Amino acid sequence: MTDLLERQLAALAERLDVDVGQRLVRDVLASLDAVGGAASAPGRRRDMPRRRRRIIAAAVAAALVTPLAVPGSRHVIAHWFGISSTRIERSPASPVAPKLPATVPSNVPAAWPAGGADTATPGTASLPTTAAATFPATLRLGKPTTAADAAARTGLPVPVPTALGAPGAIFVVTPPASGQVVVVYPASATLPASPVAGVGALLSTVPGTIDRGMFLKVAGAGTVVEELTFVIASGSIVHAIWLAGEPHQYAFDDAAGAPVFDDLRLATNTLLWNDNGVGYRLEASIARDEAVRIASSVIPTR
Amino acid sequence: MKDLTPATDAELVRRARGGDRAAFGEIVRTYQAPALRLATIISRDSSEAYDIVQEAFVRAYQALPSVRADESLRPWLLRIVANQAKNSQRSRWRRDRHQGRQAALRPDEVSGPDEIALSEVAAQGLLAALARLSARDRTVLACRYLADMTESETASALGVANGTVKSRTARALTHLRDGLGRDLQPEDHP
Repeated sequence: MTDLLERQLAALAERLDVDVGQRLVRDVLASLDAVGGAASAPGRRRDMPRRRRRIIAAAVAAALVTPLAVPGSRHVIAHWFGISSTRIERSPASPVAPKLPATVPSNVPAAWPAGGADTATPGTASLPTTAAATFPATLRLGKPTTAADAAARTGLPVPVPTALGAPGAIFVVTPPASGQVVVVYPASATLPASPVAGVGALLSTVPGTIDRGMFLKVAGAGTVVEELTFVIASGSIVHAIWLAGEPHQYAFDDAAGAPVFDDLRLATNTLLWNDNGVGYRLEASIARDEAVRIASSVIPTR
Repeated sequence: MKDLTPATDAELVRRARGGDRAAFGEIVRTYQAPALRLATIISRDSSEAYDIVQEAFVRAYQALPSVRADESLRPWLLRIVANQAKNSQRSRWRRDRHQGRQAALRPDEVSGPDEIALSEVAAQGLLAALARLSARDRTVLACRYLADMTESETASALGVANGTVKSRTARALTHLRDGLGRDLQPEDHP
């Protein structure tokens, strides 16, 4: 190698600090344990019944949440590799932190439509084939629709977590102009009420990707941000952000790469992740590990 | 960077296929450094390189049965890393993070007659110029110089002919020189 630029590139390779010790080995092996990847049997994973894979993935997902604590002396290097920012306490004031009412007006239904979480059997979630007639108006969700219509209008999957059972109502809202799918779950014996009375959880899909970098810039005072890794029902590993604390806004990039800001309607704990070109958002007043358990059970339905 | 003989790699693959996780852990440990360099340059985002490589090794483990007995493990693994990195760098999520974070660099230590000193400023200038290249240019240079792959290994990793690697490398170096001219030229060395 005689060319100066080639020698400089080789020197750059030596200068890049890629010493991560045994951490990568541990993380890869932990992922293999969770995914259940089998190297010894070609095609075995494909042969495994889909439902069984989902169950396995969901069962181990919580165990794979990796807080990734990093010793101080390794902080700089680890930060470069994106493994130290597992917990970020935001101190600056939030630029925009819309506060939603803690209660809903009198038009909130006393009871949710049949097929809601209270009556659903976990693990056998089914989608309503008719539009729900009632929903909390303060969520500004517009008119409810069916899963088939939502999928057809947006081209997005309707997220159905088996851990929550059948949803109470499905909506198509903006932004973006092409629409996003919002699935509403009522509070139940196993799903605590959010700040919006009667609502247990919102699960949304957006076209594009949740913009983690942008979010970190706009997270408000008091918001705790944690970066997580877990396995979803398809067996894929996803990198997610868990937001807890103060109300917050978030952003995603639409299909064209343009940033889109949107409200977090329940102003409560939120889990954000991307999968297969679609951004997912789960809002609910639940703990982190429960949110991961629900997220890992989501089956995208089109 | 530790080089293993093909026989050693083959033995590790055989054991890993048999369910020996420690053997696969040894494969990860052996090739993590070139994998991280490759992912960093291709994705243009050092903050995501770790995640990219982690997922690439998981995919590699699942695909171990497809490794042929006469196949070299190193380019096979790095091809998976390169593909994973190329897919990841399409995400705006990752590009944004890159802009706010520079790669960590070790102190300059010249240890061999072929090695040259590269100052912090020059190294950062090179990283910036690499980041401005097209994905194709960046990928071939990352394979050849950052992951220290031979022309033949690079051809195998990218799924192209040796001659294609040679011509792509020459073009990429020209583009890199042009890019350095726009920003920051590494110091001249005798």
